Amino acid sequence: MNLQKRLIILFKNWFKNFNIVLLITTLLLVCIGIISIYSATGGTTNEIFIKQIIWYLIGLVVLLIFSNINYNNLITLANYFYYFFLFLLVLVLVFGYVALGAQRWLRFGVFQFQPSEFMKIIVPLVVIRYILIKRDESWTLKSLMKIFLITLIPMLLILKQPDLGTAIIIIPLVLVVLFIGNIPIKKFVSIIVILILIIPVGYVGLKDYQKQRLLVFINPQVDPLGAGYNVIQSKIAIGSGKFFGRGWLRGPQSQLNFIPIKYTDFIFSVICEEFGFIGGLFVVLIYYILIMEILKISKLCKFTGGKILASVIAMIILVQFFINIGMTIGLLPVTGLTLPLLSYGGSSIVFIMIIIGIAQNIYREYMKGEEI
Amino acid sequence: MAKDEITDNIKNIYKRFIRILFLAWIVSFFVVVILIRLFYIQIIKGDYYRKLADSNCINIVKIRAPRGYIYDKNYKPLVINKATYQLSIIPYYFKKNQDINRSLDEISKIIKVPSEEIMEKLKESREYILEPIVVKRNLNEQEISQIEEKAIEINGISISQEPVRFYNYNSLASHIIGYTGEISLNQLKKDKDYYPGDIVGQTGVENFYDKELRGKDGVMYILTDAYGRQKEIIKTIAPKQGNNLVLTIDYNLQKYAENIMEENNYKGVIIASNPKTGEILCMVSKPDYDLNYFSGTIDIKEWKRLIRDKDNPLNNRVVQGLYSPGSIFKIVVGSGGLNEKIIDTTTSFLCEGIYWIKTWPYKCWRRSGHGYVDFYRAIAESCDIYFYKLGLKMKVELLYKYAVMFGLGEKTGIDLPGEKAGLVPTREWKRRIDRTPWFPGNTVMMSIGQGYITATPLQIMNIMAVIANKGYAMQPFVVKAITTENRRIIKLTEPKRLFDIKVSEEVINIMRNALRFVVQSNRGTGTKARIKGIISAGKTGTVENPHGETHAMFAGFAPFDNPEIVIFVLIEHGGSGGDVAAPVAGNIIEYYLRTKKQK
Repeated sequence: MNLQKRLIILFKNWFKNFNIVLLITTLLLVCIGIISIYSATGGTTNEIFIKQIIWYLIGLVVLLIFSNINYNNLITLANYFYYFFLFLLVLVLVFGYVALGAQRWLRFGVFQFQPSEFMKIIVPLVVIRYILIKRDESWTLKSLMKIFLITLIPMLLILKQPDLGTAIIIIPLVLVVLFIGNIPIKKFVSIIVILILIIPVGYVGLKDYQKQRLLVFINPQVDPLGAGYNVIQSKIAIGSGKFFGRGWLRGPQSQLNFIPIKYTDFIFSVICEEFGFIGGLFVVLIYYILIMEILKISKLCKFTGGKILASVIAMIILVQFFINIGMTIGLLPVTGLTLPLLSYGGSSIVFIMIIIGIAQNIYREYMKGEEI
Repeated sequence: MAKDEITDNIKNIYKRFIRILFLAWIVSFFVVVILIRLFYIQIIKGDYYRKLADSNCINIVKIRAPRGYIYDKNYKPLVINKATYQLSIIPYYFKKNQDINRSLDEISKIIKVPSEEIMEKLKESREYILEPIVVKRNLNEQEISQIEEKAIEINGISISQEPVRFYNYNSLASHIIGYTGEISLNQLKKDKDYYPGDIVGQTGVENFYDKELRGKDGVMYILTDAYGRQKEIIKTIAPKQGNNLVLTIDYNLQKYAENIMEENNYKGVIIASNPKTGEILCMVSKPDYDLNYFSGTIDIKEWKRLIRDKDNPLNNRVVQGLYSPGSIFKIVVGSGGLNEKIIDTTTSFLCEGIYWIKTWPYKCWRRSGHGYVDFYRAIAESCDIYFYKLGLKMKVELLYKYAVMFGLGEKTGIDLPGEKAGLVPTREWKRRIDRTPWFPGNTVMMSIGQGYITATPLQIMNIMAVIANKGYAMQPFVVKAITTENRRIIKLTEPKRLFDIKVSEEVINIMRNALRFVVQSNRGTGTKARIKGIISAGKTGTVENPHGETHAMFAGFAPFDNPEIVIFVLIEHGGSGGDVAAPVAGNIIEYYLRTKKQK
């Protein structure tokens, strides 16, 4: 009997103090994901659709697990993660599985795994740990150079794959760590100025197709039929949805395969075509609430590490959300970044579930402190 | 000191709070940007995009993939692709801004196609006014240069390329290679991988290995509006060339064999293979046809001529022709008789030139008779009456058993389409088909390989291959390997045993020696197949047939101890096997062994 009671208490503790807003928005996004993937894959219970549901289930379990791991342990162990994943990134380049012209996946039996995805949280974790140790000395030139190196090495490995989108996204995340880590504002501004000056140098190092994408973005008339085609079709799909949309499973652009890779990169176009401005607005607002709630957790948390970590998590979701949707509505170039929780893909879903789990944990640690 | 730290801490916390607030503002800013953009696209420009979406329809135009090449065993290209040029007219541009009649006249003068015909084709295009219409294929150089000049003044005419088959040596190995042509309705029904208008292999390896050769067609997406009018090319996916085939055929040997047939104006078959592996070294079936007739557009007159030709040039006699195996079948009967211990090598029968069953006479080829003949003489001199008597002792059941054991009546499974199985008759078969009982006369005819029994040249060659190999035959094949464009081998054909015969080794050795006497002893029927310096063995055959003079046959192998080549020659209406077929076989064996040594 005693054991049973203990188990019940342990079980209860696993679910105690969840942030309800965060939980509801997460589940809502999962539901929207299921509905739209179903439509984007042709309106049948096909392999992709079923795989996606399995990934959602795995993701929710992962979320639960991470919401029960104290985030401070993650920060403490950050260095080990970092080295391990650097090793994996090298493995990817050597043995990786090539798809869509890029070598991003490691294969374990049937399932593929994209280590670069997880670098988006590991690099900030390492930098947070560094700042927590160095405290006020974090902002000397030497320390900043070290932080720069920590960031640069995985970025170069990811660029080599090549995966420009994931590589670039790491920069604003590290900037957020510095910013919330209370870097003096003058130094922060000069770092940004230096980064802007580097851009032209970076452009030379881009692959031809990446340059093409940027050029097409700046001027779609360069190649309206090739690289510009995706964006044009996506815009036509979204625009034709008008206010109420065409209705679920009734979007001609989506159903007739006008939109390329619609269940991964262009899932938002499918939603907007079939559910119109109302649907788009709804999805955007859910993301807004989700991100704001994580920022609220950041505000509540009493420890520097937790504050920074929560802000970074909010920023990861914001950046991916903005870059992906910006791409579908023709505001940003095509980068291949996924829409958090909505796009098809196991690594992407598990990753987002992990960081939301961490955010939940930060909140729960805070509530635990309040209870005492 | 402590107080300073506390105020510092409070300052830090406040600073961080402000910064997080700042982040929140950034988030809100981005969200507002997205919402404004969404509002702009969906509400303000919604009607515009809806219209675009409704007119958004894509037309798919296929780009034909070049077929894979076909090489001989030494990578000499036998079949390649040639770019042909065709003149197309795009009606939309052609009709715009110019004097159509004058332009039509000018074009028709160059390509020698009446202008009414071109006009007819233009009218047929109806609303697909942006799809090019092919006006003439296979343009020659002069036409191309003249059209290119005109293209400057006349809008909407263009020259485009299409890959077609080109056969370097015209009719060489035409039956192995086979021709290609547009897919038929029947083929379409059978296989869902094909589409109307596809060019597929119709015969030969082109047909058998079509899936390897055909490659992957490319696609061009053309944006069209709701009325089917084409607007622009959206995307092209380049076609992928098919895999290449490497044949087991040696070009030189094939050429040599075909030349012999052509010089003497022979009709018939030459087939040679390596008995150890089953790879076909040369395969000739005459008459044949020039493969280049089938490349690009086929001339209807030429096609009709080929179809109606009584000599069936399109037929691959090696696998589709059914012949009586004739005296070569005596190998089967003899082996059976020895193996069943009905006779031994010393058993003699009397040949008086004619054998009577009741009132029916059955003749030996030598009218004067052979006298008393033992087994070796019976094979070497091909005494018919010896085998009549042996056959009657064995009865049709045993004849059937050994015929099937030697692979007759069953397809060899060679990698060529349309192979026939031939026929080995039985009592039941005759009762069913003919509704008459089996007569002793039928047995007599069957025991010298005539009458109902039929076989393809490939099967007849396999009888010889079994003896050459001392007891087994390999499955014949003509494609050695399948390679990619850059000659990387994807698949090598593994030699496969086709069947073993259950005949004692002793019997096979007796039979081998008897076959050696056919060629080597001075009284043998196959002496004309002798080759200097090499011991060969073989068997002649002279087959009676209702259409005229006898078919001349010779099957043989060489060298005797370690056979490298087994050959079968059949000259239709050629006369006697020993006089006509044997020398041809001898020449080819000699050529093969000599050139092989040189390498």
